[in-house]
Amino acid sequence: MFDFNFQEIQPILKVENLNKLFGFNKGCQNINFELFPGEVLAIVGESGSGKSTLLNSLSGHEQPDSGDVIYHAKNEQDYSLYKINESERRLLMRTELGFVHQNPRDGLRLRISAGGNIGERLMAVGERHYGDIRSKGENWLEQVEINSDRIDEQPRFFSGGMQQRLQIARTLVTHPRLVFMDEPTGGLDVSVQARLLDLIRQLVQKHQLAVVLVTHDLSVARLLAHRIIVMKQSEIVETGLTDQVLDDPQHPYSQLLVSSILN
Amino acid sequence: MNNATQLTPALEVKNITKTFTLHQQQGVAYTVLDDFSFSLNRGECLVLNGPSGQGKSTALKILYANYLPDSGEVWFHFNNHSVELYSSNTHQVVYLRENHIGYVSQFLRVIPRVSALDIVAEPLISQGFDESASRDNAAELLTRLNIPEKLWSLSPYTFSGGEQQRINIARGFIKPVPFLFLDEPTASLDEKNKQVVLELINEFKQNGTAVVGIFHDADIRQDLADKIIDL
Ligand SMILES: Nc1ncnc2c1ncn2[C@@H]1O[C@H](COP(=O)(O)OP(=O)(O)O)[C@@H](O)[C@H]1O
Ligand SMILES: Nc1ncnc2c1ncn2[C@@H]1O[C@H](COP(=O)(O)OP(=O)(O)O)[C@@H](O)[C@H]1O
Ligand SMILES: [Mg+2]
Ligand SMILES: [Mg+2]
Repeated sequence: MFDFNFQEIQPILKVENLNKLFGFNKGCQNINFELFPGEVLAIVGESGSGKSTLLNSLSGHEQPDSGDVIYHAKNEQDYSLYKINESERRLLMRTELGFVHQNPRDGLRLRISAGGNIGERLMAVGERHYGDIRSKGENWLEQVEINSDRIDEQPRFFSGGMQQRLQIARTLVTHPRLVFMDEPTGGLDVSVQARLLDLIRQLVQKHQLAVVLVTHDLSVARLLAHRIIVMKQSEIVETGLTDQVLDDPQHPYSQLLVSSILN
Repeated sequence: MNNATQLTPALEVKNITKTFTLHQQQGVAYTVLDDFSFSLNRGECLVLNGPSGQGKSTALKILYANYLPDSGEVWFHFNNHSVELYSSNTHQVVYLRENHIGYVSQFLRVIPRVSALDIVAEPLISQGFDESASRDNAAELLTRLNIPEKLWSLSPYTFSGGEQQRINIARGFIKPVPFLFLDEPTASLDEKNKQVVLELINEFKQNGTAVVGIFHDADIRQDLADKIIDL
């Protein structure tokens, strides 16, 4: 008993000198960090600080001006997301990465059935057997607390919270190892937010996901993240364990953010 | 256990200094800990003592990397390993916390929608233990701490201060750990439950856990302390 069995493991994501600017201090610059398997990292900061730009660059959606995003894949190979060719990148994004948009309309097809939304992702990674796809769809609807008898309904008739849960099912059905989320509870009522956060917390733990989560809500970061990055005007001003940054913030801007929340 | 491990302390704290700088308040700065050091063996209990506001909680939080010191070192020694908290990356610190440190903060942080039983069981489940076995352990501890079974499935959100504190204690004591940090765990408890907590701490000490604690009651300090530091 009481042995220290910490395994030296490889980071799943390495970000080196990443820059993507749309104008002076608009976007993200000088970004460096590593993310480990199973680790949840929250990017916080006020609106316009560059959180979404950074997330889009990390996730393969936005070519940076310079710098490197290196993904350590399931096959133990490193892939520099913007140095590999487009089709390789698309393949990784379909199979090993996932993205949950703030607005479910950006991550769902509202006019095809709930089951079709989930099944489409499975077919994109090569599943063909209709019965398997349907039963996985039902299983994932239940995992996100949607009654599986709604599998044939179109999500345009769902509530905002349900749409967001469906988007999460659609993202996780292919078992990505690294999931990016941009303000996943952003547009929702507070009571709906609590339920969704609880669901995300459980799914992340159950499936041992690595997550990069953008939020401007520090209580979301407190609940979900192991570690926080604080951004201000396109740069990282502080990073550390979530409870350390929130309980003992060092940078003037982090102190301002923390002191502005009501306890 | 061989002699060599008995001679090495379990926990070594070297020259910790901690200053708070309040940037939102004209940059006012005050030093709370100055050259704070101690070492502690397996199975021993160190009590941090002193009036309110002297930095007892700050010192404990620094042992857990909850507060960041200006300088100094915190060494955790295991059978064949030594880890220094502030030269480890956050990923290693999370691992150390999840697997090797029990921490009972002064107040329970309620997780929305999670039942008392699950809050207590969670440190085991997140280490990969079987969920129902973890809940059985949690139930056993809640029974020992006299939390009525009808409360187990509820969120502790509406519980009394004393009940919340016992949930917090149960969560801190659910897994066997070599290091245990306690911030006034008995503050809002009645005599009967204080005795249960005392028993629990003594069981951990007997299993070789190094304990650092802050205790309101003089008789509890007396009972547990192998070392006392006055702040
Ligand atoms: N495609 C774009 N074209 C031009 N400017 C952009 C674009 N995307 C973002 N920006 C600008 O970059 C800055 C950072 O935006 P964003 O990353 O969305 O911030 P956040 O997510 O933190 O609110 C903002 O000033 C925004 O207007
Ligand atoms: N996060 C913090 N930021 C600024 N000052 C703090 C913080 N935490 C504690 N302090 C200050 O440090 C001093 C010691 O506090 P604390 O360690 O809680 O004392 P004790 O536990 O001995 O009562 C107090 O003056 C307190 O206000
Ligand atoms: Mg954004
Ligand atoms: Mg205190």
